[in-house]
This record gives sequence, C-alpha cells and structure tokens, in this order.
Amino acid sequence: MSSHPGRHPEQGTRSIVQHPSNGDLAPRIFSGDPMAFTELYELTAERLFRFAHRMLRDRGAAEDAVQHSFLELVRARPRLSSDRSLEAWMFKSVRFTCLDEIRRRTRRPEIPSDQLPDHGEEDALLAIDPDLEQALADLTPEQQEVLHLKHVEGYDGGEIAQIVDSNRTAVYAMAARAEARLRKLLDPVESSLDPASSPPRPT
Amino acid sequence: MNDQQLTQRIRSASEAIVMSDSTQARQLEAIAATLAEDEVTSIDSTRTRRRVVASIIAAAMIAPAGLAAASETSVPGDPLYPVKQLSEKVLVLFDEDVIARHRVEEIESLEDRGTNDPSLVESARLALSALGSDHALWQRLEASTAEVEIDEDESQSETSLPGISDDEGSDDPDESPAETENVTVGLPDGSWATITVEEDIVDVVTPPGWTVTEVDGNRARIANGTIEVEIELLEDGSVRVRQVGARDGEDEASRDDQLRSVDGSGSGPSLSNDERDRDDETPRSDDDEPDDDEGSGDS
Repeated sequence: MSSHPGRHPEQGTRSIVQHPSNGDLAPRIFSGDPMAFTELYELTAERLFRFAHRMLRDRGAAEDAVQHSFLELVRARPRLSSDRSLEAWMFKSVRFTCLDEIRRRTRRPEIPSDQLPDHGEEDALLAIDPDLEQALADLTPEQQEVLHLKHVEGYDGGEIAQIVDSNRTAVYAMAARAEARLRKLLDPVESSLDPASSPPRPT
Repeated sequence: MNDQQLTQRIRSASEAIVMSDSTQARQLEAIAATLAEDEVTSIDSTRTRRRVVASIIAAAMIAPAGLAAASETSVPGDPLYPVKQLSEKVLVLFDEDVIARHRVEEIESLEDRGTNDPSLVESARLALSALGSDHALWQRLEASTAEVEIDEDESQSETSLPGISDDEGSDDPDESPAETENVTVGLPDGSWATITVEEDIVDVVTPPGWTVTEVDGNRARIANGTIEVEIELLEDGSVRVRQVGARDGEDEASRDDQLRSVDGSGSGPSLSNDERDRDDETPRSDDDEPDDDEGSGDS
C-alpha cells in the first residue's frame, strides 16, 4: 500500500485543484461511494500523514489526525460544496486537528512541544537530517506548515492560502521569512550535506 | 543553499516518514465502518425518511410521555382515547402490530366491563387482515368475540355484534384477503381513518364523528360535521389526503342523523347505539352521500 505512486510528492505535487482524479472523485465522495473513499485515501493519506507529522512530530498523533480528517469527511460530505477541492479540504482539516493538538499541548505542557517524542521513527528522522529538524523546530507551526506545503507538496501561494485560510501575499511573505530563517540556521552546516544521498523509502 | 536545494532537503526529510501498511489498513477499515454507519441514517429511501420523521414526532410526543402512557389502556369514549389514537399513528411505524393489538385489547377491556363496541371488532379485523391470516392476534380476537357471543346467548342482554355476523367468511382467519392492505391516514382534526386498499379503495373505517360519503375507485370522501376530506390513492401507492370543502350550517343540521357524531362527552353506550345504527345500513355507508354534497365539496 505504501508504494502507491500517487503519494510520491514528486508525482502528486500539482494535484490540489486540478488533479484529474479529484474531479471524478468528488461526486462519488459526496454520494458516499466506499471505493471513492479508498481511492482518496490511497491518493492522500500518506501525504496528509507527513504534513501532520511535520506539525506534530509524533507518529501516533499524526496518524490520529489523518484518521480524524477522513472520518470528518464521511460525516461532512453532504454539506461540502462540489466546487471545492477535496484535497484542499483534507489538508485543511488535518491542519485544524494539528493546530488543536498543538494548542492542547501548550495548555497542558506535560508533553513539551519542542521535544521530539521518543518513538523510533523520530530518532530515525533526526538521524536523516538532524540539523534541518533542529532548524525547523525553531520555526513557528505556521511557518513550518507553509514550508511543508510549498516544498514537499509543491503547492503555489494561492493553493496554500486556501489551506491555511490566508491570502496569497501573506503566504509568500511568511514563506520568505521562514526560508530566510531556515537558511540562516542551516548555513554553517549546509555544505556537509548532499541532498541526493537521502536514503530510499523503506518498504 | 538555493531554493531547489532547500526544497530537496525538506522533501527528503519528510519522505522518510511513512505510514505502516497495518495502520493504513486499520484506518481504511474505520473509514468504511463509519461510512456504513452513516449510510444507515442518510440513505435516501422513503422508509428511512419516514423513520426519521417518525422519530421526530416520537421525540415530540415523549415530552408528554405520561399522557401517552396513561392513554395506553383507554377505550373508545375515554377522554384519553384520542391521545391513544394519535400515538398509534407514530407507533405503527415501529410496531406494525400496534393498531390491531390495541383494538383487541380494547375489545377485551370492554368485555371485562360487560360491554362491547362492534366498530372495534371491525377495526381489529381490518388491522389484522393486513398482518396476515396466521397472526397470533386472530386467536385472541376470536376468543374474545366468541365469549361475547356466548354471553349474549346466556344472558340475552348483550347487543349483537353485527360487525362479526356481517363479515362474510372472515370469521375464518385463513380466508382473510391476502392482497388487501390497510393504510392509516391522518385527518385534519387529528383523528385517523383506516382505508382498505385492493386495487382501489374498497373500504374506509372512519374515526368517531366522521362518516364515509363516497367510495369511488381510487378516491373516497369522508366528512365530519364541519369539513369534507378526500382520500386519494395515488399510482405510487401513497395516499393523499386533502380537505375538499367546509360544510355549512344547514348541511350540518340536515346531516345530523347520518353523521352520528360522537362528541367529547359521548359515553360508551351512545357510541354503541350509533354503531348499531350504522350496522343497520352498511358498514361502508355509500348511501350516506347527501345530494348537495358535490357542489359544496369541490369548492
């Protein structure tokens, strides 16, 4: 399941509004076709999971956020308007869940939001690019989500604005600020990393 | 680090994060389960919509639950009997036996008091014929009506039960018509009528105060002292009830004897008299139709 090509960011990056299967999927989702939900899941679940993971840095919480958004879609589908992108709706829904979770952690700080939970996966994440993780953790959640949507999902300013309930100009400004900060944090070690050497996806 | 390098670096880090197949399988299962659950409540069928409407009505009726419960044992003529009739309209959506069971219970209850109401027997038969000839309530009905007949033989004091004797063949439950269907319809005054349908409307059992003025093909008209209502059997099997006219005072006065209206103070015996009277005609009362009915009715 994890080898579904639609979920590779390289192949699915331009899919937010004009993805061809998005158009076919929407009416079937609205009518509750279980196959359509499966297709949408195959198409988006792992990408939503990465997005949630970027914001929450916790595997379990990210999985919960994805599941929550799909169940929300089941319940909300009669009220959705067909001219909106399903994918954008899903990212937006996951984002809300993540921001809620972040707020919850801030109110009850027994799980410090700036520390990575001790899952093996997070250790592995640190092992891949510890400097990047350290630098990203220094950004605000809003900056991190915009960077993720821009660089991992490949969305443009308008598409990101749609997801984060903002406008294009504000999104560009936030991305520019976040990138500047990231570069500043990463600059000293940048030359030691070769981006092409990242390990292949585990199967 | 240029833009492309930054993108590549952020992307590579993110790509290392994957969901396990087992997690995905579990989530898909949960989605399917929620979807299936949701289907039950949102599927667009008449039956389900009727249930939803019924539960809304039921919820509204639960508020005066004590009243509905208190009306449970009422018999015709009791102050709470209209409440019972109203609640039946809702209950029958959940429990198809409820009308027949109530009528049989009322027959038994009246019998305990040493009286009877032929229209109840008629209503019970009508309701039971829709439930099938092998329904257990037939036996209870037979038992209670048989006892009344025996009482009558012994004491000679009871009124006869014309509802039974006139029903040719239906004493034997096996002979109850299989294709007939009873449909209970609500009337503007909150009471209800039961219509018997084969291909067309063949009979209408009216609530107290109402009388059948016409049965013709897929239409029937019934009236009480003030209004006339047309019941139409539509092609899709549903029933439309609409008010076709108000009766004027003259009309009402001239029809007093035919309408056999039972007002709120009407007691059991007066109802029995009415019903005996009614039986002397025919149960269907086709000839009840007044001459001036059509003119005022369609306005």
